[in-house]
Amino acid sequence: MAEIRTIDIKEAVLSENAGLADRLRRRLMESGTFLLDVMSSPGAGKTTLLLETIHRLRERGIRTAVIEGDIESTVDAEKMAAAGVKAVQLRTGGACHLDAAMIEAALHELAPGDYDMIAIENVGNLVCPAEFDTGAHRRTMLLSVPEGHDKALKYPLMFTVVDCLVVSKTDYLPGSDFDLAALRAEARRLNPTLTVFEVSARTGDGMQGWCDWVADGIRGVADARDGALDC
Amino acid sequence: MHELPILRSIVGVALRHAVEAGASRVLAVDVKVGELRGLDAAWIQSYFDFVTEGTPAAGASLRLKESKALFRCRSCGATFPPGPHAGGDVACPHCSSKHVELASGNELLIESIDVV
Ligand SMILES: Nc1nc2c(ncn2[C@@H]2O[C@H](COP(=O)(O)OP(=O)(O)O)[C@@H](O)[C@H]2O)c(=O)[nH]1
Ligand SMILES: [Mg+2]
Ligand SMILES: [Zn+2]
Repeated sequence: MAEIRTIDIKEAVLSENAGLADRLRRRLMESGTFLLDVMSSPGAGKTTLLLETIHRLRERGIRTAVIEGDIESTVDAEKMAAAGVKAVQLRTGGACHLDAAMIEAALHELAPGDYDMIAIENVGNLVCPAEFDTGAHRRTMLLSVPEGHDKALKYPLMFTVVDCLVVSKTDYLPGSDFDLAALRAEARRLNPTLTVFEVSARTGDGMQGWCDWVADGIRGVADARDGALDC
Repeated sequence: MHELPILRSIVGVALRHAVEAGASRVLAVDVKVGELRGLDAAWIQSYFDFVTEGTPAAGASLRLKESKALFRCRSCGATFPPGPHAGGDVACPHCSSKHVELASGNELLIESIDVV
């Protein structure tokens, strides 16, 4: 009988995806394109927020394309096209998340150098996408007021992997029992450096601060590229 | 079903290391899982059984070791569990610094394998 041996490994799960994500991040940095990953439950307002954000950024001279990963239908890609936004529809075949390989495939259909930002509308759920690095420079989650404020406890991993939380549909706040302070406290308990915005894409409330944050990410990538060219 | 790619990754890594070590069978896989991952141990084992079917890891046991959420203070280095922080911000209980980061609790790491 052969002896049982223990082999030390210490390797992160999904390290292959993480490696590809890192390469994508670097490649896009070199072409000066900011990659933003937007995640939420279905209907929390990803498409609406992206359209409104792209529209406002366009006024600042920022060119954006979108990778549509939501599986419901091609409705979102059509909405983007109708608004004059270049969109690539991913066929995820019922997958519950996007991974770096899917983003790499979508990038083949875009000339990254043509865009200052590429936004990913991830598959609508707050569990699975948290596990998979898409190569984004920044990750954002949306939580809409009608969903309730107690979500941090239900989706803890998501709160730890994002850079920013957008509380969306704040026009529903008046008269609701949504406790913004409790959500902020719970979210920052999981992620002390989390940036939080309260936004209504419908009324435009809070859009400015959110758009500034996105523009700051775009500038960060552009500066990093120019810095790299200098040396 | 994001559990499936995760399990495929775990089994892929285990089998690769087993082959490199010249082993013929994998008996156990030890995985460290942060509590914030919210992975269901029972589900994970059945996915594991499914993914390992017909491989040298068939019948192996998947041993999950949960790691608790811990913050580290970037000012003084102390680690501490997330407590009820009524004020909102997480602060170091030793030096009150707000420069804290998550030190553990969200990892998913293949620690080791037992092989013959
Ligand atoms: N009242 C209100 N409704 C919104 C807001 N943003 C989106 N919606 C609505 O919520 C629904 C789902 O939005 P959508 O952007 O498609 O969500 P997605 O599934 O996350 O892409 C649509 O009917 C939107 O009109 C908002 O800020 N306020
Ligand atoms: Mg949508
Ligand atoms: Zn301290």
